[in-house]
Amino acid sequence: MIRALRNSLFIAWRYLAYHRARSAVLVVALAIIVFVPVFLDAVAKQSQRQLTARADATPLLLGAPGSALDLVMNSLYFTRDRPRPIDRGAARAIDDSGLALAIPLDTRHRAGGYTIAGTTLDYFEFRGLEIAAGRPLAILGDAVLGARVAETNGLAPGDSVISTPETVFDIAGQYPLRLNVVGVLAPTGTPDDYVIFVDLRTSWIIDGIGHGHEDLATTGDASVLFKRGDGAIVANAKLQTYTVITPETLDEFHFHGVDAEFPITAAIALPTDQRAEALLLGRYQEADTGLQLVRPARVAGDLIATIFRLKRMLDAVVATVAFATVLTVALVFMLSYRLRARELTTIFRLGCSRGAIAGFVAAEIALIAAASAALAFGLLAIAGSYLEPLMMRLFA
Amino acid sequence: MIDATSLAFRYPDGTFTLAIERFNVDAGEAVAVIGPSGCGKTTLMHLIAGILVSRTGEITVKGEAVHAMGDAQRRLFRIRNVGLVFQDFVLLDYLSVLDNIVHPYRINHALALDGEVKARARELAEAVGIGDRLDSRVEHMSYGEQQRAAICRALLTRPAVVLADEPTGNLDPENKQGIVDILLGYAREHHAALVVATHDHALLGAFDRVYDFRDWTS
Repeated sequence: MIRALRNSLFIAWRYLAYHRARSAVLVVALAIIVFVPVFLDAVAKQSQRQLTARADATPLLLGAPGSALDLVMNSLYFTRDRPRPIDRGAARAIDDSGLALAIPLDTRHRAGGYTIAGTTLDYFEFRGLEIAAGRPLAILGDAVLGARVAETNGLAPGDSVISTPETVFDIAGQYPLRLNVVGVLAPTGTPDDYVIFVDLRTSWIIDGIGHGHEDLATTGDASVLFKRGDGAIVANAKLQTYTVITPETLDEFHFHGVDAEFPITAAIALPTDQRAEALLLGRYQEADTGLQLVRPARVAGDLIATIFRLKRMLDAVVATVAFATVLTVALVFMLSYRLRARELTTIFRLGCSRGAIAGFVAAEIALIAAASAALAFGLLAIAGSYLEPLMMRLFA
Repeated sequence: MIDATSLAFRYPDGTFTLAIERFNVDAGEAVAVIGPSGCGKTTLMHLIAGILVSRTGEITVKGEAVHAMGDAQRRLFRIRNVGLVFQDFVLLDYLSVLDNIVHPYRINHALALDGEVKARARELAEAVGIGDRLDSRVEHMSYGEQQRAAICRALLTRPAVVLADEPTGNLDPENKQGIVDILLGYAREHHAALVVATHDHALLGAFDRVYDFRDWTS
């Protein structure tokens, strides 16, 4: 029995190796048919896991009216679609209500393709983020990197990152700001790994709402002054604003305006209890506040339902393609054996039984199937290691 | 060694009928069968080998009644006693020459392929002049070399009966004589019955007897 199996496998292997191009096509076709549905399933389940875990951990989210999905995706997963900003004061109003703690988020800026999230230290506590290296945010210009940002770009405390200019073609626009990396977060396997965190006020400096320059009252360079009078000094365009915040320039940074009117993109609201949550939801549903307060879990649930509806459709498509591929592979084998009719007749005449001939066919199919399975699992292993970054790219 | 009497065979579609009153070959005897294409030479070979079964008459090989055997018995009988050589060699392009020669041992579970068999295959290949081509691919060999490899495959099991169906049909005159000499040499050395179907009258002188098929078909 073992001898027969060994001989069948030997003959099948030699045949497949000799016709290596045909064998390779069959192996790849079958591997893809195995890989695609399994990978799609993994992607769908990973999406569900990530969306659900993140959304379930975020009770309420305050933002501008419009797409609740965009608001949730941007605020929880830091996607590129930016919601309309709201005033910082809106978040403070929630705080003042005593019903919830509001954590402001400003996600409008980017650096090197990563979102810069301006927030407060409450965010780190709320998400359970821990510093793996360096220290937390302390002063203006500090940045704490998500684990993947640091790992991918080889950054560590002491390095710096520069914000991406938003107004490249506007010569009067705000300069990019060099952020000082003071800490790196421990990996969390969440979108937080792909974010550069700064203090909310640093985010406003990137915005140009706050800026730093030499003190006009004491400057020795009169050429930077446009006019002086009525208790106000106006500088001209020669005045350089600082593009990096250092201990020497820190005190020169200041904000113009009322911070309650400064922009944020959202605020995470952490109600004190269920009653407070219901009250808050009711307030923002009833009143014309120009704001929306949403339950991320519900929004993510709708998205997951859509994903799985799409997946069911994809499953049907993949099943159809798989069926067609299997038929094609069967046809290839049938045509192959028709072409080998003379060979099979000869080995039958040489004394080979029909059972043994069936054994050769089975051995060929088994080798092709085994190679396809090995390739499919190899692809799945490789794809699996990239699944998390892929999901981040999918959402970002 | 081979004794056929009152054989009658007809293909299911009725296009061909073979009737042979008497055909016999002794051990160590070399017999040529001649006749035009389609006269039944191959059919006779297949009846002797047990590939086909006659409806009437008797055919015994080595004293065993081939016509009375079941399918599996005939197959085993063929594996153990009959060496087949074909006009078009039917070697497998995806195997080396050595693997082609030992192929019967891989496709028949009744035979065990071991080192001794492989050594015998090498000896046979040396004897027929292709000892240095054992690792080659079949497609890189001349027709003469391919037929030598096919003969090695047929003789590797040391059959008591060798049936060669137009073995020289695709060969040049020099190779034709070489192939016939190899077959005759085996029959003499191993006291085997050799039946060679051929169109080539120039080779007939080498055989002990010649059967002319034109009298048997209708």
